[in-house]
Amino acid sequence: MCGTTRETRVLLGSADIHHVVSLRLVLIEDHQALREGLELLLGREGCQVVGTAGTAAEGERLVERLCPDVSLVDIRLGDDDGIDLTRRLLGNDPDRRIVLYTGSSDEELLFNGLDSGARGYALKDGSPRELVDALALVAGGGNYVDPRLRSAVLSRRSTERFKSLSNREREILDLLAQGLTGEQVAEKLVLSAETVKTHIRNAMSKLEAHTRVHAIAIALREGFISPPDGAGLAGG
Amino acid sequence: MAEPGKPNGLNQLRHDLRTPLTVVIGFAELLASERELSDEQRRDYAERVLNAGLEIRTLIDGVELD
Repeated sequence: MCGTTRETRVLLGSADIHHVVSLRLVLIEDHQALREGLELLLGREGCQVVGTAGTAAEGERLVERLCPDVSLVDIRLGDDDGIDLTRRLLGNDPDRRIVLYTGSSDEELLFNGLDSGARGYALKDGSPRELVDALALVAGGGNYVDPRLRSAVLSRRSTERFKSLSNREREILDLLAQGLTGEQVAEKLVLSAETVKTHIRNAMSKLEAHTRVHAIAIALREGFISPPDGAGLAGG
Repeated sequence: MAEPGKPNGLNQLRHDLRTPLTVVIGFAELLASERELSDEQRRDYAERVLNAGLEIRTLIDGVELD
């Protein structure tokens, strides 16, 4: 179990973050050249890559030992599965921040990934800068889904009917989708942090979502909230 | 390696192609933007681009078109 003293210093306030000062990152990617390339590229963008691994087992040990601010996990790790690894890591410490990384824009994979509890979902199509922004957002307590997946999130055919959200629940999910953290939402709406948490919990329950980002994705898909302009779906 | 004939093979192929493609783009960007690279670094990065390019070619050659 990792401690709570995180060294990350990120300027939050919108989904557009460009001021990463120090971000301790563990990188789990089975493709050696990409792993080494990311280490270099993310290092140039301000990330401190404290550990890299090519397998799920090795990655799990590194995350347990190094307690990074955020971990970047490839979904397909050779014979291993990055989504299963994410479930294991979050089973041991639900506060861990994990961004799943994939070359596939497959919709089912996306929703399986979000179900695993990962707070971020980034595509390999993105630039290093986009990836760093996603990592910083997640390390700072937010959520991220690559904007290229917005159409998949929005167009997925619904096979279930969800209970309608209250106006307050919609308002809060909408602000989360714009990149605000729970605390920032509370401040903006002049509510207590606990009240905001209760609304989020109720919205997640109505939407049968396992995580905040999953709730945002479902709320967007079902038309409860509108897609934010600009970058990826994000919420704290 | 992707198996296009199997269910989800196309998605697997896309993932497999994008992985080395990300290497190509990333190291090409480094080569284009970094002015202070040593000759050794330039050779190293160029080799990585080349190897990833060859990997992409192998993947494409392995795709069976019906």
